[in-house]
Amino acid sequence: MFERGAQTRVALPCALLLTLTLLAPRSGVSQTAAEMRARVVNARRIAKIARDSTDTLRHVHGRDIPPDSMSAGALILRFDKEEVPPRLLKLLDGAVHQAWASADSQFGEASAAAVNGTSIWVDRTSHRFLWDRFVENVQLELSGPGGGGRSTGTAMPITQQKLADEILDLVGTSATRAVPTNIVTWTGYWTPARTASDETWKQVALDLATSNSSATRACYAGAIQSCESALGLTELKDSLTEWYSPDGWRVLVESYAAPKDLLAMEIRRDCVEKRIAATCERLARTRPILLPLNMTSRATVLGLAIERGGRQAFARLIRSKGTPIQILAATAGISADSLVGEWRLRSLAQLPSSTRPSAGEATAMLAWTIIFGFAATRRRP
Amino acid sequence: MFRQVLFTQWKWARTELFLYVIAGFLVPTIIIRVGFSFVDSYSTSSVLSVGQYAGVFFGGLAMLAAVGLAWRPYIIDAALKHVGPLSLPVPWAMFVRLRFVAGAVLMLIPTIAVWIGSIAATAAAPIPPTLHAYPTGLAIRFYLSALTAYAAAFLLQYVAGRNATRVAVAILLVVALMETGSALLGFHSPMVGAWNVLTTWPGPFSTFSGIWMLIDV
Repeated sequence: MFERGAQTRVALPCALLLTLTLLAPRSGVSQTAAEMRARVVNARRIAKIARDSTDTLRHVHGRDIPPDSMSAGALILRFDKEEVPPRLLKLLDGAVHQAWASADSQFGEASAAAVNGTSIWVDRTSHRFLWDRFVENVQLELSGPGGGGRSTGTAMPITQQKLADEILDLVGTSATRAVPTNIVTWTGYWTPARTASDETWKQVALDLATSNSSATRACYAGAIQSCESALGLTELKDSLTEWYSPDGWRVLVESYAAPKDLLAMEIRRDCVEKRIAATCERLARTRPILLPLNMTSRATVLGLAIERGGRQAFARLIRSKGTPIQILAATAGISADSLVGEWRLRSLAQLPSSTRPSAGEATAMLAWTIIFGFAATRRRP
Repeated sequence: MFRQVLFTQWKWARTELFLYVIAGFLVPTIIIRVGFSFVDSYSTSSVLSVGQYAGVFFGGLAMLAAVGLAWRPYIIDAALKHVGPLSLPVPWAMFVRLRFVAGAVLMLIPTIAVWIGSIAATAAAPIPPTLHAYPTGLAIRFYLSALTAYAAAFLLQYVAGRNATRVAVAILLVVALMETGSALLGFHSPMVGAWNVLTTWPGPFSTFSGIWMLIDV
């Protein structure tokens, strides 16, 4: 049907199109118009559910709800049993016990102090949208004895694991109230209520490997004092010069939005293009200095200190006084250098795998190659 | 017999193989040189983005080399109505197997060029100490990806025969129609799910959606 030349003329554009199709960014990276529209519709639904959930929570607060609808250890959930279907009741029961087991292993003897007399209000909302699409949401709200708190939502599909994670998230907030103020400020108002996952350690490893701070780069190379400095655990006289080298000042300035004023543009050019260190330093000092390592990294140090310190660690943490590094060392029951050294090794161990395909990936590829190759022999022309 | 098939395919494909070798050897160096001249090499994010560009190029080259090596022998055989292969004293299945393996062996040539080109490109590049060059890992990924894409294109060509082009165009049309339809009607595109199955482990094209970074953490 097709001559050789004609076939080549059609085949080459097809090959090019296939190549472009396969190399197009993945859905997680970019979105098509359809995906964007679907997300907007979804966001509207979530907003409606959240609004309804908040209204219902207010309504629930006004009703007479038993103080302990469900409990595990010191962890108390409060909800209207008539509003919760048996399936969700079972999930909540599993989740609260799972969350308590995790909180108990993290906070040990001071678990009750971590929960701090707070209870968690539970509210469930469900809606039926167009084409009978069913959407369910579970809203959890932390309510302390002195008032105040925060809430978090779990969207479909609602699982025991997701509910347990959300409960633990709220327990972390509750535990923060008992922690010394300087540690709370240092970690960004967060106390980890469970052991950090591999995914969290991977984020820390990426933070460590991609920071432009000279202190972090020295930490990556093995200087523990630099790790402590990059984590904000040492006393700083001048964060700009202690965290960043002159090259780092330039990168900081590059990261700022380019000015529109002509004179400011010229000064910026002196730093970025002509690489005049004094100008970079002056410009860098006009903004708050970027932390070399983010709050997730700091939270993993605190989490590791609690993990290393055993069942009495959290009790020691809430009793301790001193600088953050002294409190962390007291919590872990080891020297600060050992703790930070272990944190460094543990995070670097989770660096994402390199470009080299994993053994599983390679095996799958070879298997597909053999399957395709074998299938190709099945048909005679 | 295999040597003869390999030699024949080499003769047919040597011009395009030469182009792949030149591209695999020179383009990474050009990307790294040009990229580094435009960005601040002290900034890890800038260096990573340059490494990413090189990776995207390798992904494209792997696909192009795969499709080229898979389709050419069939097109030439088909032009002569497969008289040569069918007159050989071996069954058709055995002949196709030899063709397949010969293509897979020839794919090693651009892979070696990619490997050497990547080593040359990153040897003198001022990479921050927390980042590393991965020329060997990238060459392995290149070969595995090219091999799978080659096998898929080979399957399409040898099963669909003269209709391979039509089938490929039909697949593209179906994808385009479904995408357009879902965009107009505001639905989640079903292609996203299909795409994820194909490009997520253990899907056949999962190596293409993996890490293609010449320079990485």
